[in-house]
Amino acid sequence: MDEQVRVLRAVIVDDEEPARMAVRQGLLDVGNVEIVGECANGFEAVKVVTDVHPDVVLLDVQMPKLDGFEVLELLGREVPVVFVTAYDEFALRAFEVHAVDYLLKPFSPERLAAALDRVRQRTEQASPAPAVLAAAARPPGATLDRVVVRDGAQVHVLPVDKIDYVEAQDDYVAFHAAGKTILKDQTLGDLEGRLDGRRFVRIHRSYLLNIERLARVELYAKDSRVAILGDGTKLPVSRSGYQRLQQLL
Amino acid sequence: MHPILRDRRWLTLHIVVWLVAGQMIGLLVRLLVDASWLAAMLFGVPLGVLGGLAASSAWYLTRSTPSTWTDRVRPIATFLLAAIVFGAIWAFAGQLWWQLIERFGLADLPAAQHPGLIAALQGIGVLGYLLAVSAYRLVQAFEETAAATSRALQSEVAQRDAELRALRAQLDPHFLFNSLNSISGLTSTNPEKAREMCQLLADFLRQGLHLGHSSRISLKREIELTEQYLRIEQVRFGSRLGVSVHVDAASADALVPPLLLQPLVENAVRHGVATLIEGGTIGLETRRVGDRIVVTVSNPRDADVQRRGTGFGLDIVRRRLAATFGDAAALTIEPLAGAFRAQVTVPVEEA
Repeated sequence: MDEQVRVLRAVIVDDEEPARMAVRQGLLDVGNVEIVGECANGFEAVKVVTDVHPDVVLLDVQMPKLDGFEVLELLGREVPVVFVTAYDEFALRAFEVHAVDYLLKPFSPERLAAALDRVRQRTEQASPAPAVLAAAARPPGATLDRVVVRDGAQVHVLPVDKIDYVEAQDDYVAFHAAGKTILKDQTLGDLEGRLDGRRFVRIHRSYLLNIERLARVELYAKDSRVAILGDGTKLPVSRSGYQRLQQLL
Repeated sequence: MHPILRDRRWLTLHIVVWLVAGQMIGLLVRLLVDASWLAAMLFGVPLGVLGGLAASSAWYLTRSTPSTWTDRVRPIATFLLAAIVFGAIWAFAGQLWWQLIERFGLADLPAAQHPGLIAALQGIGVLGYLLAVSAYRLVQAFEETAAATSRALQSEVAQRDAELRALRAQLDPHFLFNSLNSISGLTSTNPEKAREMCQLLADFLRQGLHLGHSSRISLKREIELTEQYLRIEQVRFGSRLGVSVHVDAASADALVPPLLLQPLVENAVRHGVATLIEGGTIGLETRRVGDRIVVTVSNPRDADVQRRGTGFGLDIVRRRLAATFGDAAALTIEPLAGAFRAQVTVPVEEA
């Protein structure tokens, strides 16, 4: 073995135990890897990665509650990700979200070694912002049905039908849902593109409204309107926002 | 739709028949009465067209009686009665028309009508109406035969399609790849388990290949096959996947198409238990209710996931049921927030 090869600290994430064994055995066969964590779901993955700061995450795609793409969206900036899955149809998306590599189950030790080499080369490069990852993490045309937000080691999963409205706050967006507010590092424009346009309307430069929450629209002053939600919340409606609203209704 | 309204060819055919009938009446008048050709035709042709138009209503009468007669007396009596009433009204209309022509001097017809002519008109009306009934009945029979042939063909195509899909579903590449990956993972740490998995997989695939040739297997066999599939998935998911099977002895010999339940249990794993961190138990239950067999596949699932499968698997099951049992079988689904239940009802067909 080449003395120069850096030992990679790896975390394995897969909800199936035999699949974790396959990755573990593969890593042991390839060598120069220290396994610092094994997780059976995405929540554990976020927690473990936050705690141990590994050099690479070997990540399954199809998992309960939080799939591999959502985990990558939450972690992408901190750690290089190699997807490991039986589904080759995710490959294109995987590279769009800047996964370092994509292994098809079952994989050979040579293929795994090549993926780890790519991780070693890639470590120096800057990762794109989570917003970019979030935008790319879904196939074109598909809309989000839940939003994942990370708060340290904690992960919030917010189904989109629970969202009342979204407000732009500097570099963040604030999700308002049932009286609670959750902040996410993303822009409103990025988010708007990922949500179902028949349900979420950009009523103002800073507001994206879940149309099911709208009770009525009132004229506030000349050319200026307010949207009143079912719970009494008032949101400004711009002229173009009002046009979009009318088109949808 | 009435043949007249369908297209120009049908309409032309009807008009030709009416005109010919009208000319025959004119000919009859000319033979019986001392009238000019012009007068005879002026009387006959409009009366023929009127009668033909009215007799086309026989279509609706033939449509309202099924072509497969179980009771032969009633439809024939109905047709005869309708024909006699039609003949009487038409002959009366003929008398009126004669008087109109004669009174207004439209053509040269004698004032007194030939008594035999009215009786002849009545007879022609009755026969003409019965002729219309028979012709329409013939059209109806042709159409029913064509429709039945097309239905049979469609059902055959659906059956073939379903068989092909079932075979392909059984050899779902992801199922194979995931199983092979499990084996690959187990080889070093648990070689015995890896060998067992190879065995299970080989048995399942071999049976699937054999069953490709049979159109029906016993429900007992089908359940065994399904259990085999679930045992393979149990190796993958470990303690997360529980299986509970209850087969009612009275339903064990019923016949079903092979691998009918496969898409349902696949869904129960993929969209059900696999979406839960802690997993859950898939329930498989069969029971006999009268002359029907009810098979229930139930599973828990993540209540928060909105987007489910494409319904492709359910579609396959529905099509196979329709191709095999027609309307006698059904698939009902009960999508609850945290659970899913699919119920297949088939008629009892025993070996």
